[in-house]
Amino acid sequence: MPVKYFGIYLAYAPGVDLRHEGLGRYLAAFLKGASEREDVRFVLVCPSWSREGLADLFESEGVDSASFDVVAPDKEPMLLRLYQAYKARKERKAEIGVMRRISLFGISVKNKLLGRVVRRLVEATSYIDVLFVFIEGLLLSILLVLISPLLIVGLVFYLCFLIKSKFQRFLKPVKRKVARFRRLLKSPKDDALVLRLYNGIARVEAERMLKLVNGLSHVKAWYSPTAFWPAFNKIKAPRVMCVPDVVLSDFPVAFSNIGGNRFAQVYYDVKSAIETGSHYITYSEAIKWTTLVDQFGVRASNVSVIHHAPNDLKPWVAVSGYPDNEVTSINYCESLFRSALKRSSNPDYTYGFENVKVSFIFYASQFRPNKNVISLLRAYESLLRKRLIKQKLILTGRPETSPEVKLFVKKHQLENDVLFLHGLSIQQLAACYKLADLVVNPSLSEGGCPFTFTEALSVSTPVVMARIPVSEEILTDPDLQKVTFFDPYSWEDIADKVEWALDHRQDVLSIQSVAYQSLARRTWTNVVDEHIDVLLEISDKDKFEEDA
Amino acid sequence: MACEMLNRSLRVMWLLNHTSARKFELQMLKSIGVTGVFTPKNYPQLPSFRSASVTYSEDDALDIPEVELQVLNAQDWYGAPTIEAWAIANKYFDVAFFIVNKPDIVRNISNNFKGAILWRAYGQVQGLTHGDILKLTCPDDGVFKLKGLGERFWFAQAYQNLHAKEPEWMAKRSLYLPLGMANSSIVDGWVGSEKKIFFICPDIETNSYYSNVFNQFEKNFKDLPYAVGGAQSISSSSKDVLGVVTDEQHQRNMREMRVMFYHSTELTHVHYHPFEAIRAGMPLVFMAGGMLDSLGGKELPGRCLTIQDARDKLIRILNDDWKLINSIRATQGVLLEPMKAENCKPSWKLGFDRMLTELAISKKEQLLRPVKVKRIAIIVPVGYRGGSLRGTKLLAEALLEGSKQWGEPAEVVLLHLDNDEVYSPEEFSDLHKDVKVRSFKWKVLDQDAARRAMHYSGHEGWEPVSGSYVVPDDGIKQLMDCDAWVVISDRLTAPLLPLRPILLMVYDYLQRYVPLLSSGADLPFINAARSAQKILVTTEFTRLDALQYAGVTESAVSKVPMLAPIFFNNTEKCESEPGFLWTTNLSLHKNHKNALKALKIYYEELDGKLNCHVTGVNTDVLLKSSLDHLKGLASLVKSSEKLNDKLRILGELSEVDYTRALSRSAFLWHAGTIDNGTFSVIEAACLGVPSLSSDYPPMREIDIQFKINLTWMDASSPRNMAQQLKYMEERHSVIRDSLPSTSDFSEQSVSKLASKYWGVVRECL
Repeated sequence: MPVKYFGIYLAYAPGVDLRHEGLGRYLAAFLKGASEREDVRFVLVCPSWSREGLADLFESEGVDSASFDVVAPDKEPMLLRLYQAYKARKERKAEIGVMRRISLFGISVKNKLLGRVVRRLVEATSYIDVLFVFIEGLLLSILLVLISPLLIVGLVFYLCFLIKSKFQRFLKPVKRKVARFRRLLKSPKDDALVLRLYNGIARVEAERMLKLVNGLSHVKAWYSPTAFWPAFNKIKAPRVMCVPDVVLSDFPVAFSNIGGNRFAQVYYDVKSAIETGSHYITYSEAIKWTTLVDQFGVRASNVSVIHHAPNDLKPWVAVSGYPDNEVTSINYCESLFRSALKRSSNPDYTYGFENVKVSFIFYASQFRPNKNVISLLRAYESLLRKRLIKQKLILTGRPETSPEVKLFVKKHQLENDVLFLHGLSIQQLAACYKLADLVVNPSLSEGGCPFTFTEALSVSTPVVMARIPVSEEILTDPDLQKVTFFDPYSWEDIADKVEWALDHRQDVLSIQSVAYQSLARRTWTNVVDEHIDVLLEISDKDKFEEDA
Repeated sequence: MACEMLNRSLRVMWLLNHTSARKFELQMLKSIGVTGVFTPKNYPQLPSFRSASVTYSEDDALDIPEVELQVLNAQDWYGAPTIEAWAIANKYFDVAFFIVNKPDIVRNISNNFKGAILWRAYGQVQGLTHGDILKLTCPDDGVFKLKGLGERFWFAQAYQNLHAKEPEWMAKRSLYLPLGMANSSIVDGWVGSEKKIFFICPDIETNSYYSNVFNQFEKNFKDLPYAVGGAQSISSSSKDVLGVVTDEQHQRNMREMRVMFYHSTELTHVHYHPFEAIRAGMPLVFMAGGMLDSLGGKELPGRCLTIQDARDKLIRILNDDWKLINSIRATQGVLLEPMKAENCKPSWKLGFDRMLTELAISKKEQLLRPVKVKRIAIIVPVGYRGGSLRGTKLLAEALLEGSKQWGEPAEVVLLHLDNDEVYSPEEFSDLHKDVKVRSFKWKVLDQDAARRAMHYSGHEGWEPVSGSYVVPDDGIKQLMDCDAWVVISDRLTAPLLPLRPILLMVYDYLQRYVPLLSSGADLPFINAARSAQKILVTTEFTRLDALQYAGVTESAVSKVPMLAPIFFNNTEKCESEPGFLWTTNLSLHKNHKNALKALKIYYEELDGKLNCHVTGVNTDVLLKSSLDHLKGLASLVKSSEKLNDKLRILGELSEVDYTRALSRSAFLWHAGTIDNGTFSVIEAACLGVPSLSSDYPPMREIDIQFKINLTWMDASSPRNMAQQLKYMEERHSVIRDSLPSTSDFSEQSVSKLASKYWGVVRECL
């Protein structure tokens, strides 16, 4: 059977760990689905610095690397290699300063000698023994005299080290430059010079990738899974770009204070990529119309909507071969949960927390302005303190990334009931979903129906979610909507729905399970098939236009 | 033609009045299959419209009922036509050409017209682009509005290169519809007997661009004989400027003047008169580097690389160098080729086909799109309570109800400051159940953050003009889920970031009449009004203040009827106690001194029998306050035994207690000097209690709207006030009978007045 080749264009920046990015998991799911097609093969083109990260991603997600090709420029840019080497060195244990080492060595030697003398004297049983101790001491003294110049030099250095502070004043300008250099190395993204250098590197790398792409004449059409890379539009072949969402447009005020003008450049890149694109894929009708058509003036007929397939977490926690697989699975999940607790931002509290059967409400997400975490926290605080529920609230975001969240939790003294478990493995995540009493998703804006619904139902946990257009598009049954949705703009409504769902857990689960069974019929192979249909269509259309 | 896709005959709105362009373009439109063209019957009376005129000649061909045509003809198509006019436009027309002269038309046409919208672009002078013009005219939302039209918007450029310097989004939407001449044949009646340079330069005294052009011309050619043509709104002092000439004189000039000089080196703009000269057979000497080069003029003998080159040629022509003259005349006709209708038609046909095809696709696609319910935010910017908060709740109800009456049901969210000491949940227990409530804090953004926020939200190219901006932060989406923001009052300490259309509900400009604020302290409030898209006022008095004091344009202000809490007396009719109720507070404009003086006269000289019960916020400290305007009140009261005896201070009463006190009163006394009117007189009338009020315009307006037969007094004259108090004492029971009935009041209910409110808000959506 002839095989058609399609390309996937990736141009993530150095240091992006796709294992922790939604898009990374999406790509992995996509390739897994694609591996089941025998008539299609994907070629991934990526920057030189992404090869290793992609390999890590695919390994962690169980993607068969033989089912696709990866093409990347040969060597990483020199500047990047130097920086990565520096980082690696820093990550090794911090070394002790030279003078300190000499000092410690001296003390160690002195102690050892003293110890030996004491031991010899104590062990001495005759005058001969005592004499030998003195002879040893004499020999040692002669040795010291012989190496005394070195000792004197060493002493001078040591004195200089002690009075170093006297010279601080003269070293200030130098120290400032060194400090800036250190800052630059620690957080290069925030330095304007580095940004310029990076942009240059990215541009050169994009050109190298474009050369590779142009050499892959057997690839019929190209796909970019995001709109971050305007360079994608320079590919002279049929191409389609996925625009999951442009969340900065929906939350302009909140994002205006994140990342400053560096972040703004990301937006301008996205805007440029969309405006110079030709064909698009989105995950929902809502994003198609409100973002692409209304905001960016894209023609609606150039946009294909391809809904997600469900994310099934069951394989990560379902065991088999036991007398009671379900009980064993739960026990397994509890052990995973115990290890997940170690990733808590409040280790003082969770360190000794033994009750792995604790009841909790769960929300898995990073903390970004569109995730509406504050409304959830308000609702939870009310549930805990006024309606006296017992469940904890477990979140997977890092509070350091959201000062508002951190402040809210501190102000309302919720540190011991709102737990942040971040950097979870896929297994730990699945375990949390399975063990939760209820999963909640208050997010105001997503590219498609949040995966939360299928992730939770795949391990038989009910879920309540924000009523947003992308979710209403998929969860259409009125009864289902009634038990599932709350008004995300009203924390009181969130609290009402959570409380009701906790009291009617089984009812909610029954209704939602029916919907889940229907949704689960859609697989990632279907998603890939639909992508391929779009790629085929655009490659045929372009061929037609060329022939015409 | 692609108009078949629209299943009806094609009519076009050509919303311009340029006489020469109209002659060509209407003819062209008809030649490509347009069956009817509408043209505006009025235009701005400005010098920049010197080439404009009105014609009714196309009206018959439109085949539109006369009544509807009259509506269309009455509109200002450069500003804000009515909703009714747009409905008619959408009924009959699929295409509209427009130009940007005021921000109103950009918003209006984007919000209301459902067909293809073409910005007719003839180029700009002084290196400006159309993108620049849009940003200058409509800085907050012009780009946002036109970009949001997507495939329905076209940059209809008259010259092929105009889009090159425009922003990318506009350039992508360029449609080449070349400008030509209705009659491009060379008439050649030229004689050239008058040895002068004919230089066209209008509005020398009133337009800085043309003033510079003229000065430059004078500087370069002052030693040569010349005559300057072109309309002059203000007569020029220069003897060589011809000013207004008759058509006959103009024809004569075109025939007799020796040579025309054309100055422009603009790549994106060319005037009409060089082509007129060529048509007339007059030799044209022109500067290189302008648009004439791209129209075929690069090799022409009349082309000049430098001013010296131009001088040389002009001198030669003036000195009878017929060889040069003839070579110019013989070759310059090539510049008319692109202007010929038959050469322009293919581009017009192609352009219209493309535009109509996309319009048909767009209309089909629009049918598939999900319908979104509009959401309106009502923001209470400071801790208003009492009457202001009551008014806000009524406004919320009016928008909710009004949107339903218009068939466009909307959601309404009321936002109050996040301050538990000012607002408790019970504060909103009487709010309409469908109005949602949220709390918010003011978030301040510096210039950079403001710019980023605006760019992220699609306001491409927006630049801040203030050092900082404020945004209401509800901790959720900063009101980006709402389609318009209505702010109660103008009390904003910094400009509100225009992420959404902003309307202000302004009740008064009290500070204009009473020194409530220090000098300059109200400038942020005035600026807030100037930045808003719409200001809603409830009295003619305040409307005039908005125009006169805040300095906004008439079209920005909309007067809406007052919304008052109408409730009916469910309590049993009580016998009046021997007293009247004076509602007041400690504000400067409440006229306390005159009121107490009046009371003294009433009791001591006029034998006043009724007690005076004082109520209102902080009135318990009325006689103890250290405020400047309240000093001396206590001694005034003490100086009169009768006054001291009859004056009873009740302080601030709960609503229930207030209602009881009011219903037992002989009448209500409103003694304040100036404000936007008080609803206390309406509340009194609802309870069957008449009122004696200071006579000032807003109270007169309340009286007219609610028909409550107020009795009047002169608030500046304590004696008149006292006399009227005595009058009320004697006549209150008679006046009571003339108060409106329940059914009269029902005409003033929120549901009856709601549609007017929604009618204003919807214009901004």
